[in-house]
Amino acid sequence: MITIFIDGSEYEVNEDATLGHVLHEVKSARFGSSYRGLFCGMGICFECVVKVDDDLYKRSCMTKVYPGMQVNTNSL
Amino acid sequence: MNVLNADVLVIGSGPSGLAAAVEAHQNGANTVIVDSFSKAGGQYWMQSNHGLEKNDRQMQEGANFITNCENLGIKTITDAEVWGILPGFRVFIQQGLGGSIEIAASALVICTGAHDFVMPFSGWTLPGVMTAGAGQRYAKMQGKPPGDKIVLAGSGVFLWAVATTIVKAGGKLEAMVESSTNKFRLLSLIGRYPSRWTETRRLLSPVLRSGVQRLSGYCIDNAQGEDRIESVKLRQVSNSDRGASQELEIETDCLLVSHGFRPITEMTALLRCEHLFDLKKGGWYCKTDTETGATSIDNVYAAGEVTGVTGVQSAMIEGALAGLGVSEKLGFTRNGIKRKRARLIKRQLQTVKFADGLAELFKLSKNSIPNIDTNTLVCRCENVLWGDVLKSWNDGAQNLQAVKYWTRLGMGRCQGRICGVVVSRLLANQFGLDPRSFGFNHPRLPLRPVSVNIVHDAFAQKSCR
Repeated sequence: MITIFIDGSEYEVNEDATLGHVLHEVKSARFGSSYRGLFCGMGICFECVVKVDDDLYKRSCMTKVYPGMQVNTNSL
Repeated sequence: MNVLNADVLVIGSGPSGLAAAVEAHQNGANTVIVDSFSKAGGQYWMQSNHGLEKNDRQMQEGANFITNCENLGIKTITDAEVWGILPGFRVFIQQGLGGSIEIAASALVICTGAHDFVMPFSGWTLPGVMTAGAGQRYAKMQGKPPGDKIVLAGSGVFLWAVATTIVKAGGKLEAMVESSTNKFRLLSLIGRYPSRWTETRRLLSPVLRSGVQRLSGYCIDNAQGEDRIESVKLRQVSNSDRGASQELEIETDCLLVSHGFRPITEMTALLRCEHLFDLKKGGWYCKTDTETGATSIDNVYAAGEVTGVTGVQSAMIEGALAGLGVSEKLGFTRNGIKRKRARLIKRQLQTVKFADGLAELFKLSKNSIPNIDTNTLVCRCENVLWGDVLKSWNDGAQNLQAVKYWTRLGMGRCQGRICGVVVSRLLANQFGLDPRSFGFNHPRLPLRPVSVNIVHDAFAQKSCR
């Protein structure tokens, strides 16, 4: 297990997990005035875009977790 | 930037891509495979992180094929997403956490596959509503189901594949909802193809044993919830436009939907290959020569679902044919090619006939898709409503490109991949027109968002050829 940070809160996740799958369980990303979740799950639809560390535009479904990763679901 | 050379570059490592690479490599062509995912296998042969492959025949079959490619010495680059292709060919790739590669290749085999599409309904943007493919991917990668009370809905045999995965991952389905009512015609089709019996039994029996509630002749009406889906309303499909139809509401935390597959044509369209339209093959697909996999553009080959959705068996045959075709074109040949090609073509005839029969049975009709009204959101990225589309149509925007200029539909982050195919179908239903008359969204560089640094590096460097 490793630790990652989602909007400042700490989460213990499996080290080979996909970020989009983690977010599906714990938190939806804000999109304008509504929330959006995982939709296509394979990099096509860009619904699950979040900010990861300095990268403003990361599809969480295509992103593996790594220790200490800082995720912001409220950046768009 | 890292520059690699290849005779043949295969884009996509699903069944067709791997089959193409093996043939091209064995004919003596220096062959490289790239794939945007972290493991080879594509969607059909998706490799789990959880050791699930031990009791999953499909995953095991994929693992064997992938190992075989490795043993042959075929270079496979994963986490590698193509964002640009220039003639010649220079292929620009973004890798993993920001790395960048250029591959200079004499010929391309494009095996980008397909993704499942969802016809819009009220509430389809609620978190917890996703494509059936996304639900299956979740179950395979996480080793557990994507929800506690899953409803699976839409149309097609893929629903069975997803249901099987979910049941095997220990999940519980509240209901499996198929809009068509063709059970007997389906059984009679499968009955005519004994080679498909074992596969069918493997697909059906875990689901049947699980005792899941199966509803046929129902489709989604809408999904409800605050910040996440809480329930789905279904309605009975009626064969006439009038008449009260029965409704049914089911509590759910995860609604998985698939109405069919759309070939991923961005790369073949970017290269200006000729495309054809057939609803039974998923709409627009790349036209190829059935014997060699050649597209209309010199040295560009394609195989698998991007050349029309016909299933995995056909994809593997197309891949092998394209591998033979492309290496022969580049002057790499060996004995026995002609016989091998003839055998593959013969097998392909039966495979395609079966796929065609299936597609006919699961054709979507105007009545078997969710009802929408002018307030239904159809473009998820730009928040365009169905009413906006109809208004633009009435103002004179009578193809997809024009609707895009008028409403911004298809201009957002998905670049029309999700809404393009469904809006064409909706407009066709609305006005009784052929969906092909609306055309498709033309892809532009970059095919995927990339940082300016990566684009700068790519174009600052002269081609190494």
